[in-house]
Amino acid sequence: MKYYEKDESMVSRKVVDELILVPTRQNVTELQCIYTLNELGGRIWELIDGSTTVETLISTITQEYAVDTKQAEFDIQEFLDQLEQIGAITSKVVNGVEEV
Amino acid sequence: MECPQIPEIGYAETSLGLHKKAGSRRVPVNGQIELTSRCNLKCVHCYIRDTEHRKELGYDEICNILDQIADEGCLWLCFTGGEPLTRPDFKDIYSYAKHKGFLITLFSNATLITPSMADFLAAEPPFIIDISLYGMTAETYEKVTGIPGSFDRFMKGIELALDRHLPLKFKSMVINLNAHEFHDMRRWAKSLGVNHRYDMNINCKIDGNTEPVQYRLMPEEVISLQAEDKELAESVSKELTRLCKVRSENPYLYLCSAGVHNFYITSDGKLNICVFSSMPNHDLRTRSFHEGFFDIFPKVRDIKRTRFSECQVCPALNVCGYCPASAILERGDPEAIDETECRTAKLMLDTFVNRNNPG
Repeated sequence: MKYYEKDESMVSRKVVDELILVPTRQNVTELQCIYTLNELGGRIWELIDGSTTVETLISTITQEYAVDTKQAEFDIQEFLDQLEQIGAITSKVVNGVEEV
Repeated sequence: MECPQIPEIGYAETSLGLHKKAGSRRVPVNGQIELTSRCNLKCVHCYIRDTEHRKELGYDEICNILDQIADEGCLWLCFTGGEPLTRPDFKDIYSYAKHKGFLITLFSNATLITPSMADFLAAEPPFIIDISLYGMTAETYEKVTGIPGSFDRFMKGIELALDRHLPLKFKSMVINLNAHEFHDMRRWAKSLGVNHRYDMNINCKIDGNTEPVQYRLMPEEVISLQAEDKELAESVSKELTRLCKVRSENPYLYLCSAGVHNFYITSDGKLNICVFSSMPNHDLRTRSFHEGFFDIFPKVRDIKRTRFSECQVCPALNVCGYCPASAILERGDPEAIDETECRTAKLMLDTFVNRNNPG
């Protein structure tokens, strides 16, 4: 089973209704960008706690937003991959081998 | 369902968007905390009062304030002083703030940047380190700072900061002791690839002591220093022309953004709308930030002028350094006009705007 946990070097901040990810170890001026999450991205970020499986996460989102599971699986995994790429989360696999 | 996304919005675009939203909703997105009023330098123009008797906020009190302002939506946080690096617990405070997710600007004179401090800051860099630059020779720099040997320590601090790729910016208070090195300072900053800004408007101390005012440049000097460099003159002209297009005729005393989405906290925990204002002096040791910003600040911002002033119809209003808070300090009247400031503003308008846009 695959889980994700937040990296402690990325801090989330709610500022004027925007959920912003602020990297602590990188230089924001060098990055020339700030990561902002939309409402759904923010909800997924909330659910990432190191113990919720990806399957549970997808199931929670499909129930809350009444969306097609296949589409949600694709969109959510793509989003998680993006978060991993920017160093906001790390994945861990328990009782299995992580698929590439 | 809208797809979850992480748009890598350009920093400037994000900043502008948040400020726009915050401006209409009174969210305290920008804050300054004076970590200490103590300093290892004794600059002649400094506005900080001699406050050794003031009881500085302790680490726990500062963390409590940082928790409150983070909850209220503060993102850009400036640590100022005095010299923030004189605090023995500076690293603890800084780390706490970094992990709350603030974009930290650190005001410093750089003379206390040691190899260990440079390494510490490089591990979790601030958003900006805003360094005061007072001169390009030891003689001039130390005339301003009053401390022998401080120029060498400054240069070593800068070398370390550059070596660690820290996000430096320079700012200069241009006074009659260092004006002759103004262009050298600009050239040096440019050669290092470091942004440089300057201020030629010297205020009195925040306790009303007018000693710093004697170091102010005369209006004609302010103009000629900026006019004699073609590139600078063009950029001043562009900026002032832009400012003049914004009209802000209203009956209120405060026309700036102080207290709207900005705030200032003194080293002994008083919350004010800006550094020069002692209003409302809301004590964060006994009362909440929320109450001060949302209940008390609007009352300060609602103060109206009590009499007509020529400033209200002055074409140079938007390029003028007039500030009701410093007018209280210097002249005891928030509506009093500073004749020198007035003359400077009109000369600036005439030189950099009207001559370029006749008619």
